[in-house]
Amino acid sequence: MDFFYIFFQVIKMLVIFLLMVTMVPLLVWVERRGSAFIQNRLGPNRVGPLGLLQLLADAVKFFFKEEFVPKNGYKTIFYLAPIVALIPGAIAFGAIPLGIPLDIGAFNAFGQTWGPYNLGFQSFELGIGVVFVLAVASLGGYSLLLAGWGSGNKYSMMGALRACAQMISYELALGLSLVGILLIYGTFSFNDIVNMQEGPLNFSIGQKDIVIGFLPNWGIFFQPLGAILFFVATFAETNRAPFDLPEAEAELVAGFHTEYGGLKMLLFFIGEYGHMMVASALMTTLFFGSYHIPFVTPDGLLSFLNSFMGAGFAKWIQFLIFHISFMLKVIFFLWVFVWVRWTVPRFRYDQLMDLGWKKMLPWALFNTVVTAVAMLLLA
Amino acid sequence: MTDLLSFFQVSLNHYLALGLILFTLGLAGVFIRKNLIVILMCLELMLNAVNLIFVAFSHYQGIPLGQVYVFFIMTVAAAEAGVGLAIAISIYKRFGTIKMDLLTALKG
Amino acid sequence: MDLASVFFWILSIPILVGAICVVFSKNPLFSALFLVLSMVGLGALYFQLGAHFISAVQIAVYAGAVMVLFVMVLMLFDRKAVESEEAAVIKNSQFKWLLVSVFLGLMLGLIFSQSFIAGPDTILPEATSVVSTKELGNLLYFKNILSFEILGLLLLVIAVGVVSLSRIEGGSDD
Repeated sequence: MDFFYIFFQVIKMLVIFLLMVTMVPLLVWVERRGSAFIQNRLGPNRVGPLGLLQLLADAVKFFFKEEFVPKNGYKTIFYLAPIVALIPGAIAFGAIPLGIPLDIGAFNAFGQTWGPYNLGFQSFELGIGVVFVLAVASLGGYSLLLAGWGSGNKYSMMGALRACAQMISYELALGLSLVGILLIYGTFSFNDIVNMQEGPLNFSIGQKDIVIGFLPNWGIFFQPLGAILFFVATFAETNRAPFDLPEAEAELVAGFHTEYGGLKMLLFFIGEYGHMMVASALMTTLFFGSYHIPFVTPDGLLSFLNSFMGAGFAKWIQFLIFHISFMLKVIFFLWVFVWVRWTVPRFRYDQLMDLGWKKMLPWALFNTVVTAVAMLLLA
Repeated sequence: MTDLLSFFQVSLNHYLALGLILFTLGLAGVFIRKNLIVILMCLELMLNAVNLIFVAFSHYQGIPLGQVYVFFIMTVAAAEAGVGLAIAISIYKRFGTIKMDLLTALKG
Repeated sequence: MDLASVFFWILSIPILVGAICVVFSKNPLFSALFLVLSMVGLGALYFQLGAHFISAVQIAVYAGAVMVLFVMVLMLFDRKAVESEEAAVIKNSQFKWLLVSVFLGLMLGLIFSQSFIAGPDTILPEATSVVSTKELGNLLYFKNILSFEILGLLLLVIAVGVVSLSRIEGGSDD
């Protein structure tokens, strides 16, 4: 715990938070252009190349909107809700490793040698990583409830109540769908889970080790049902279509954020996209090999890079390549979120509850039991 | 000065005192408040205080069994909250209020 | 002062402020929100005490599920029924306050007169007391399996009971 260690940790947290926040305008752009592409329109294309600067214009617009509190609302709660919306996504995202750990060799500063540091690319390393992320993500319901109550408006209230009932219902299926994969990995720590997914697909039945060379050792091949259930449940957790009942326009105007505008609305946006990013990052980390690239090992890549550039430079390039590999997978899942939103129609409320309680929960339980029995018999 | 420093140096007693203050606040809430929901919340606060004392003892004595009991208490507390809120809702449906001092009739 | 002390004193502020505001807020919704603050603070304190899994469960179960339920139920009620003028009640109950403070004083005196740890030199080292999830699971599923099963049964009974309770028809006879 010396000065530079703390300094690097703080820098790391700032970088990861900024990474998350700057992804949001890009995602808004992807959402708008993507929906336009799916609906055979053009979308925003005037400001800057491909309309990329539209976000900047939007941000300026958001900043200069009038501050407004509804007459029947509670001022404190009305202002508190968007701030609370930002917290769970930001904290949960920090616990997930976004790339290969970076080694910083010993160096001299202030007339002293500062020891080598090994910095994992995550804000904080926790032994209980998966449980922590689920726990923090479960706090997301408060911002919706506060927004609904603070607005003093029936539509907002109905939206908030719906959102919360939905989140609580799907949290069960979400948690249970992960039990199978956690049984297989036998750990909650993200770093251990990531390290286990390196190399070709291999497992052992009894005393025999089986290696399937043409597939990577990813969680999806062990738990396909768990992965599907988890991904569907995250759609409900993030209140995205086809489960966006809380903001069903035809019934509730805009649900819990009917009364919000300007910067406060932007904070809700960041919260929602933060939730999506956490969901995609979890999906990538648990089921799709995190930052590992199929058929490429970190050491192999490093020695390949070393063959035509300096050792110090090669380390950074390797770090960058693995981070890009992680982000590409995350972006793919984010695109699936957008894709589904603009192609699948909204569920009715009773259908939503039926799906959660009568279909996903039993299937998740079935998956857990089958995994446990299979592990007992094949061990 | 050393007295003050040794007071700030945390030991088991500090955790016990914090737990006790939380428990007393919960107790006071149960005695004084009239709103059924707030009384239930104060009960949760008291259970939390007990949990804190369990965890503190388990940490300072090095016995992890205390945490297992915390686990059990949490489950019971969640169940208690569910039943309490269901009762609160049915009382509200029946009498139109959840203030305990107005619910004096023995026969509903 | 070591790091544990710093964490304790910093975390005790939100915990105590939250707990005090639970009792004294006029609006039950604020009570619930302050209770969430208190519970998250306690969760952080559990982490500091080496109970990592318990700390995550505290946040997921208490702050994430139980308190969301409380807030939801408060929203289902009529606003006027929920927001009551209770300040007078809090002021006019001197006898209850006396009782509670006597209890607090006696217990605090007990704690600090008869220290449960003989002296500062017998405090256990920090590293030994981080309980891994595996250890906790072994304790839960091998040594306490009966209690665990009974709890499962209790939860089932509660689930059925809550459903039947909330299906009672409203309205009064008269």
